[in-house]
Amino acid sequence: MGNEESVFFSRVLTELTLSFHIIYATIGVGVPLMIMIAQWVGIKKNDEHYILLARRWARGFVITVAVGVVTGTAIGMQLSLLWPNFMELAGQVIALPLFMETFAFFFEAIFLGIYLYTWDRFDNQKKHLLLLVPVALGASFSAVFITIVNAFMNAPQGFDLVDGELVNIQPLVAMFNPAMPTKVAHVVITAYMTSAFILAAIAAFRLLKGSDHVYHKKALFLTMKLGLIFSIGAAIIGDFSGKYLAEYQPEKLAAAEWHFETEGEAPLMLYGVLDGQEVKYAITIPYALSILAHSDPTAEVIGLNEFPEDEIPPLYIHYLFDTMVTIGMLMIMVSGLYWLGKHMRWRFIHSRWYRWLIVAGGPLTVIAIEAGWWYAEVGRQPWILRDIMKVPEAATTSGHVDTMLYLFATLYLILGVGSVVVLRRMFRKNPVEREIADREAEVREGTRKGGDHR
Amino acid sequence: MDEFLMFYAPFIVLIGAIFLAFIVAPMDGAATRPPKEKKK
Ligand code: HEM
Repeated sequence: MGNEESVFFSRVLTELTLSFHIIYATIGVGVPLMIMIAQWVGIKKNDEHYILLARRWARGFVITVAVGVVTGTAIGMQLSLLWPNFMELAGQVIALPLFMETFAFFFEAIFLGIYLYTWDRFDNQKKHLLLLVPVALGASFSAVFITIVNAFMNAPQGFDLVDGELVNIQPLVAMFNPAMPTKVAHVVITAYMTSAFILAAIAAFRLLKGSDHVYHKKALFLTMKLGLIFSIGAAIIGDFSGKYLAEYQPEKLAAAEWHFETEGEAPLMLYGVLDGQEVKYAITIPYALSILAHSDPTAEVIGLNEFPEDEIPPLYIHYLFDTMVTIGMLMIMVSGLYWLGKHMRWRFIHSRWYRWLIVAGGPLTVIAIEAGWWYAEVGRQPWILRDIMKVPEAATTSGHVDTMLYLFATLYLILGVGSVVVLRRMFRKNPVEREIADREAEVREGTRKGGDHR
Repeated sequence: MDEFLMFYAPFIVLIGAIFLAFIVAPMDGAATRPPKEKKK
């Protein structure tokens, strides 16, 4: 296998691993907060339905964590094996957050085990809820640390490069690079958003499938409300990400917007097709790109023609950016109308088509996550470490990457299908209605250990 | 201004959203409220 081929297969394998991992990682980061909020509401309102929500979400969560661990380990391994030159160089500077991510994960895993096994062991549910705090913190901080590594790839700093050697290394300066705040906050909040909408989709699906149980109605209202808050937050932070890009990675923003000439009063182009440097059939929002880039409708936005041709990222990222933003806006509308409609008692939000729209919101937000990551990663091309190392320089020269690709693809297929089958079985075998009836019977008979559990 | 938006504001929005989520989550009066009757 030639070097070009091993670069190609290394790319495909990394893309595949990340695209698969990100689904489980996103759920892994977001769901603990949802569990925590549900349990907190249950305690505060003395409402068993919310406590049961937390219990059932926690059970499902374990399966996704297990898959996340396997794929996360695969990524760690692939980073070193497929991109050895990158790790050799960047590892000297950015190993600190990589290790910290592992610690955050251990923190989460240890307390998750204790949390799961102590559901009925506390007289005071509040103490049990406290065990979830390190789980949620560990989960979110795993995302924080690993995203810091990614931010460093986009805006490397904290060292000097002298004759190909790194000197004057400052790991903390490297961690607090300019890409860090917007990336970290956007990734974490979109994980919360996606988890809320996946859980909303499940509740809406149960209501569509004939359940009229108040448990599902409460679940849907809670998750849609959380989805609304986090999607508005995601859009606001997305806007800050635009400002970051305009300042530090203007080629990524310009490529996403097919913005060729440096000019003021730049419009935002949605969709359309590219004919040479002319954009056709696009939906044009006047001044919007200048506002996204600099909060000023007349501000000048740097165009692609300022960059050497071999440093311009692939222009198809335009569609990825548009997909992400469209889904974000759609979900703000769907959840906003639902929330308003609940208060105004509108009929259409209870209709079948609206519930199907909410069900579609689950997979759609996952697509937005994929589109966002693809945009951010492809938009950094041709660099693996911006302005320092290009992707082909970083790759392995091993001749067996294609075999690895097939083996890992099979593994992900098995894990993907396996986790869906296990989750379905788990919840089918133990429907909400039965669990609620069982718990009510337990309470009536006073068989629960330790008296009052709230 | 842009420096503030790029460095501090993302965390302020993130942490603010988490707090807001905890504040509004228990307000579930509308969760089980039925829709308006159809006009005859
Ligand atoms: C609604 C308006 C949104 C805007 C204006 C926006 C803007 C952006 C920008 C500019 C980036 C690139 C940041 C960079 O490379 O440094 C980005 C990345 C990303 N976006 Fe969005 N986004 C929005 C919504 C969403 C939604 C709804 C999701 C998912 C549910 C999402 C998920 C992501 C992810 C996972 C990344 C990659 C991580 C990162 O680079 O921050 N975004 N977004």
